[in-house]
Amino acid sequence: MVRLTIDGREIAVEKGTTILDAARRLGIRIPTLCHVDGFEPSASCFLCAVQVEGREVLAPSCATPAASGSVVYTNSDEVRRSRKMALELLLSDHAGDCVGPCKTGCPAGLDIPGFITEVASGATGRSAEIASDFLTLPGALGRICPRLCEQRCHHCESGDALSVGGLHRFASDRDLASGARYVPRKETPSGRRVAIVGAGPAGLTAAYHLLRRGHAAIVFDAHAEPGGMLRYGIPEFRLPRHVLDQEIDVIRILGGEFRMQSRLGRDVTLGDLRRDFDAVFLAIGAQLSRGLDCPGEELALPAVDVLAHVAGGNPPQLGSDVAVIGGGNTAMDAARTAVRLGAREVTVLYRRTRREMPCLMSEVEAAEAEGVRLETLVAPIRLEQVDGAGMRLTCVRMKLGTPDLSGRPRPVPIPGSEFTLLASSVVAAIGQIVDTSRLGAGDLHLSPRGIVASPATLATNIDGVFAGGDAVTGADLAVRAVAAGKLAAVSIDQYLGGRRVAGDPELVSVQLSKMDEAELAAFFREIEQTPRSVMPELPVAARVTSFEEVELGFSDELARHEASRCMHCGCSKATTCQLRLYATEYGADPLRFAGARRHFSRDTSHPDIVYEPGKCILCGACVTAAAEAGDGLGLAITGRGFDATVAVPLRGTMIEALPSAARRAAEVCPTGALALRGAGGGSCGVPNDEARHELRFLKLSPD
Amino acid sequence: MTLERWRSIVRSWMGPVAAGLAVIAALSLLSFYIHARLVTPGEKALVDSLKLQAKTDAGVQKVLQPELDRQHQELVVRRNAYRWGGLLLLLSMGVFFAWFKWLRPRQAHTRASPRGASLPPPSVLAPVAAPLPVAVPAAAPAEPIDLGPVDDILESEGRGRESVIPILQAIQARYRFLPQAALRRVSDRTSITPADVAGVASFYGQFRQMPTGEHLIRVCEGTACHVAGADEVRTELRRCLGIAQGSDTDPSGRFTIDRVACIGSCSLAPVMTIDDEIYGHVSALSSGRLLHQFIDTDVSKTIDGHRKRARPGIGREQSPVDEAHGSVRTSPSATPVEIRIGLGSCGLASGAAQVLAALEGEVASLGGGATIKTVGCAGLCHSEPLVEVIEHGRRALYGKVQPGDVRKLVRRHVKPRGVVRTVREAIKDMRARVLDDRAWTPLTAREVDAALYVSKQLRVVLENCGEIDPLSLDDYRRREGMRALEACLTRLTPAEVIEQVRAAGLRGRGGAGFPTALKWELTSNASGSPKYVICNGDEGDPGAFMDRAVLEADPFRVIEGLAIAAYAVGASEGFVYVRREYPLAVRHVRDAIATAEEHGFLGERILGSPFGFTLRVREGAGAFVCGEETALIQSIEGKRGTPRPRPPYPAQSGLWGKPTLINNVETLACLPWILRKGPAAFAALGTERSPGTKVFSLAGKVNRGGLIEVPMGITIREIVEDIGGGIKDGRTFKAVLAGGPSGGCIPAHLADTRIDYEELAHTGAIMGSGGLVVLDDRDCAVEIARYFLHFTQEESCGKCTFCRVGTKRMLEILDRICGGTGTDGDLQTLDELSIGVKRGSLCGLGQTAPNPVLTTLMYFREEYEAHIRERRCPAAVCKALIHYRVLDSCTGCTLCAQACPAGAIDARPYVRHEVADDLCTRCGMCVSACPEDAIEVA
Repeated sequence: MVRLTIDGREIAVEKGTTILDAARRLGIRIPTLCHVDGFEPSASCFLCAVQVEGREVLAPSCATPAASGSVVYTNSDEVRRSRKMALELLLSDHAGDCVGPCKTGCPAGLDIPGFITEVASGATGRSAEIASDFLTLPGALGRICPRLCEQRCHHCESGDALSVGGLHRFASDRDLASGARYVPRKETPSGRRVAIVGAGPAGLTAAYHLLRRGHAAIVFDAHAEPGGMLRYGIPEFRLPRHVLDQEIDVIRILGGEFRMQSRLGRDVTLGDLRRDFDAVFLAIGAQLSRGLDCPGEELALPAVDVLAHVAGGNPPQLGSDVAVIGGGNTAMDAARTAVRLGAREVTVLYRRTRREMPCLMSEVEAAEAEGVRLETLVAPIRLEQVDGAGMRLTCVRMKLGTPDLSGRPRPVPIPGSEFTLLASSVVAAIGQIVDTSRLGAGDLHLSPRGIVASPATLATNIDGVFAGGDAVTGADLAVRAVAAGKLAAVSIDQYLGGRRVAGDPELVSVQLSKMDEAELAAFFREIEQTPRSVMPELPVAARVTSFEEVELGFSDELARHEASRCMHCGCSKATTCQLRLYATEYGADPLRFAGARRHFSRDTSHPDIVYEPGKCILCGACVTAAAEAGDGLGLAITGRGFDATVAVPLRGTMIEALPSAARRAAEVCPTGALALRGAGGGSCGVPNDEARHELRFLKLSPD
Repeated sequence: MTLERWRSIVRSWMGPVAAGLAVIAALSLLSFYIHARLVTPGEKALVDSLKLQAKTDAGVQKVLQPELDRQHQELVVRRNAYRWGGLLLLLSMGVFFAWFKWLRPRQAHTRASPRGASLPPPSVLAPVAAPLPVAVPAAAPAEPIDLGPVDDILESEGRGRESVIPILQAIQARYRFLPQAALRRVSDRTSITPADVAGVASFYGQFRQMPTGEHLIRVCEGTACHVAGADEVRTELRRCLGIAQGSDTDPSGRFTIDRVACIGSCSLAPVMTIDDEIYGHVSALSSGRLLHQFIDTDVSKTIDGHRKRARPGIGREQSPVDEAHGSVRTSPSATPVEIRIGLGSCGLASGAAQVLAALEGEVASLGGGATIKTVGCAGLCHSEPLVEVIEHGRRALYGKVQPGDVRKLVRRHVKPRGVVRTVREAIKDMRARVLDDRAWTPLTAREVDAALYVSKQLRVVLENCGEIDPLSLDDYRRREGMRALEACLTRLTPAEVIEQVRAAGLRGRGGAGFPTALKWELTSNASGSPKYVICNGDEGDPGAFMDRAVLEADPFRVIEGLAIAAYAVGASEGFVYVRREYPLAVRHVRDAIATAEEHGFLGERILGSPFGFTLRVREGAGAFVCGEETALIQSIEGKRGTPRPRPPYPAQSGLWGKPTLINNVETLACLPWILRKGPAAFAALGTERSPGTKVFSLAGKVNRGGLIEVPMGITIREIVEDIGGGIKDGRTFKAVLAGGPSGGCIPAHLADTRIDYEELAHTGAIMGSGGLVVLDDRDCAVEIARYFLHFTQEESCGKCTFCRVGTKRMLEILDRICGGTGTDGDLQTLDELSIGVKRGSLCGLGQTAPNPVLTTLMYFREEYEAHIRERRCPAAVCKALIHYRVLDSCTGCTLCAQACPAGAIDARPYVRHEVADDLCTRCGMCVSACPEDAIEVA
């Protein structure tokens, strides 16, 4: 017997026992990647490294026999640092996306490959469930979301991105139309009540997720109808009211209570809410319009007011010549609304160029098709009322200067280039800011942008009060508000359950940077390379006279085609990959040691397994598994140094290599390098409950 | 009948015909002359008397006139005959000479190429990397391959797993690469699995998966060669051959440029080899010329279809290595004069084979009178070829001997035998004195300082190097060889042998300095049978060649050491593991083992004792990591050379799981001395903690590089300044790189550090196996660190995460810094990665790989900062950060413009030239071409 001390605890083990096994007997968890019970230790990953007193270097515990009297530390600072670095080094040479870049690109984390797979297979109902679970308002967002996900799509490297927005809109539309629409299951009531201020996307989403978790959600809003900016900031021709109503109905079905026309600070105060409810979520949005910041700015109509009036059923008189100032989606919406209200001439003035416009290009194109004129590199310097029913807008020409903080070139006025134009009305769509006055003179911490809340949990400085959405970030995308609502629900749930409020920890993800042609080819071998489906639209002539929805949505056929374009670039072992889980546990940063990496490639020649050499960590477990099976060519570690890789020897195929050991090889593989076919159902990393649980355990275990 | 055929007929007959003509012309001239001589005196007397009469008598005058006319006519004819005859003689001699010199078939030198003209010198080649226009088909293998030879190879090399490396080496020797079909055949017909075949074939640097060109060019990547400009040589060769990026073979498939970690001829840096021949002191300028010269001679070979015997090496003819080394060359009778010539690798690379041939010729022409002995490396590699003459116990050492010098050198010591020879030699001497009045004096007398080179040294390990014929067991025994083994076997128990080694305080010379006796004791105490001893001759450290020299020059000593070790630990079998980059060492060890077996020093019942010991040689296959003992064991077992965790140590479970003792060449070479002279004598040398001596290979920017053996405790300054003769070209001493890629740099201000395991470790470097590369102020510390990281990254086995990926990231950072795109954060990351890699690697390679970075960061941090913050390389080395500028001293000779391969300099005679910075590739060719030193690099 050998007696040794591990982390201050003594243990006696038989001679020859490894430190790893000895620690396990004490219940001490040591992370391992290359270790497989029963296999000869590989001692290559160095994740199991421990500190042994008197040894200058760290010892791989999986291969180090316990020595009598040795003193071992398995979790010292140095050990943890070393493990983190080992993980970061492995991640730096990991060629493959853990999850599709679209999913990591989506602020709400929508499992895009997952629902797209369902669309492709015709399971529209299941796809709507996935979309609703993540987005809450999939139909609304499918219409108006700027689709950050599509910008990340690997299709962009050789053509047009997959039409993700169009597809979740399709899923939602079909689901709403089916008559048997998806309503999520509710957990047993907790008896806790949460006040949500603001019925915009953030508030609605928070309500939806809190209700599902069994809490009561009471939504306060100053407007007559719920929906916030979705209803009052977006014109009907982009987001028909019935879609929004139906999606909000789900929250009502789940038991959500709406207290409309009750304004914070007037009808109800934060103090009241804190007193009457177990938790409060402030999602008051950014309601105040920003001025033009020039003399006469009060003469301009705020775009959101124009849109809200139209939505409320009493459209303002804009006259025949409308000038809209701004370059965002609101500006476009205001301009297109003006067209529909009968304006003869609508001009959008923007101070930078078309390239820098923050709105969707498709909106600009649609607006121009509808007759809106775009005037770029122009800024207003004075606005005057002229006799009669018009105003004179004096502008100055701009040129682009050095980049500002946002990275966009700063517009600089060209002296002497002033000119004037006449308009019947001027609409200002410069942006919105948070109206903090309504929060009362409480002790809530505020910043110039809005309410201060922890980005990880959305908790404010006041216990039990959370805040999110535009109210925290300033005016931003609806999908970010949805993400905030979801995060708030998770945090509030933790708070109400008396757990540590930790928010919704994300698994660390490796992202392939831009892929080269060979890598793209590896994907395109699997799918047909077809062009993006074109969204059917209402003819322009019909558009300009009514508030009918412009984009008509995909047909079944178009949707199926579009869905079949998905490359499924994510990893089928995304939730079981040990490398990813440990990377999350140790807070490893995949980009810390970014440098040259292996090529992504994918071998699908075997009927049972898929081999992606770029994700191999060279533990050799599969080589051993193949050698144990003893048939076929087996696998070999070939090459050396950074270029070492596991390959089929003698230029054989995977089937020749692993006639019987394929399953076993995939099982012992700690990463996604070798995976059973269809292990993830083709979907990229839908975290199942177990994985979530595991994750929480990892993340929340005391350090 | 083709034109070629006619040409070759003409060429083969031209010489004899010309010779015949010359003989005829000479004979006829001679007969004419003799005839004239015989006839003229009588006639002259007659005419004279007639002339005398004619002065007084007009009749006689009248009669005489026709006779005078006739005579005049005859004189004219005779003069013309002389003229024409002489002309014919000269012409035919000229033709004969030309034939003899250039056109003779089966001769190395030829100017006739199929294109009818020789290639222009490389400097006037178009700057475009055009492939050499040689009409030789690409060396693509004809499919399918004849696999018959594979079966033969399996028959001779065996079919077990441990034979996989020798099998693959034999296959590569046969096919010049490893065809997949042959590998399949191996796995089909042996017990070796496909995974092992593929794993091993792709692990070792020697093995090539792609067909090789007809000729293999290697430019040494060792440290000494690197600092001497090997990169530029490689670039120039690639350019000359038109080898595309990412490829290593020229488009015609004639030449492949292979990588080699170190050839071990560091004192001749930069070194390159074409096939088996080594060329020392090459430069970017000369390498291209060398290549063209090689191509020219090679063309004649392909035309005539004959295997040429020799090619010019550094302007001289060399015979292949295997012919050069023979046994003692003794003249008919024993003589008091012994002439020794060093035929180590360095010597051969410097042309020692030609010197040997000249010596033999000279001694033969003097009728003997001297014994010529070929010996191994004497250590003065900077002065190779070396000839030592021992006359009545007096020694005279001659350095840098050229074949042309041999005559004078020999004549100083050897008198011709017999009257005829004496007279003939006297005449030759007289003539020689007129032609050349340079006196040949021994090296020690010519270079006064060289005395220091010798006096500071102390020879224990190298006591026989340069003294004996490496392959002569008799020679070895004359110098008390095998006495120690005899003493052990007859008088000492194994335990007593270990005790003696312990008392001597010997520490492992492989680098880490582990007490040898302790290792022996562990192996001796371990249970298991059989036990093995292994001699680690895998000297992979670029810039080190101690083991090569010892194995080449004194192989019996290593064998004796191994036998003593085997006796002490109870082993019955042993291996000598030698790098395949040292072909001469491999051959010598093999021969010496055979000889030792013949004479009963190996095999059963050695010297009549019950002790038996057999020894085999294993050639490495090009993997630095195999110098690590567990990796070396894996390699002998026929696996990929990946280290495995220790414990268990090889002493407990080594080769095939049996107790195994692994000692370095130098450690083993110390043993005979220790056991002969007693442990106290050894312990008295050196320092208390590090007794004995240490062999170093001194290279880099010193005046006298070579193999040196010094007592421990000597300072670095003494080595560099006294032994090495200071820094070359009067530059400033900057640092010493000790221990190669595992070591570190010791800056000049720490030059008083004593050579001692612990003291060196204090500086951040390590003793290592003994490579010492000296740097001057033109060497960039960052670039050196980058060089070493590049080396370790290439040589990492790829097993451990930190070593595989960590060193790669470190290299990337160093690349960035050298490339002028480093950031301040990079230094912090380098620091962190260095610590991580050091602590998180399984074997010595990874654990020490960051040392060069850590030590340069410690001593030359300001250089790193200059690269990052000022985008400046203080040593003017890093290409991205330097510029070439022509100074006013330019004379407008246009040589730089001719040399520039990038077309960055316009040739403008008599006007100061300019380097176009955007076109300049910083190859340095213009700098070496400029006779005025007028190109500044900054």
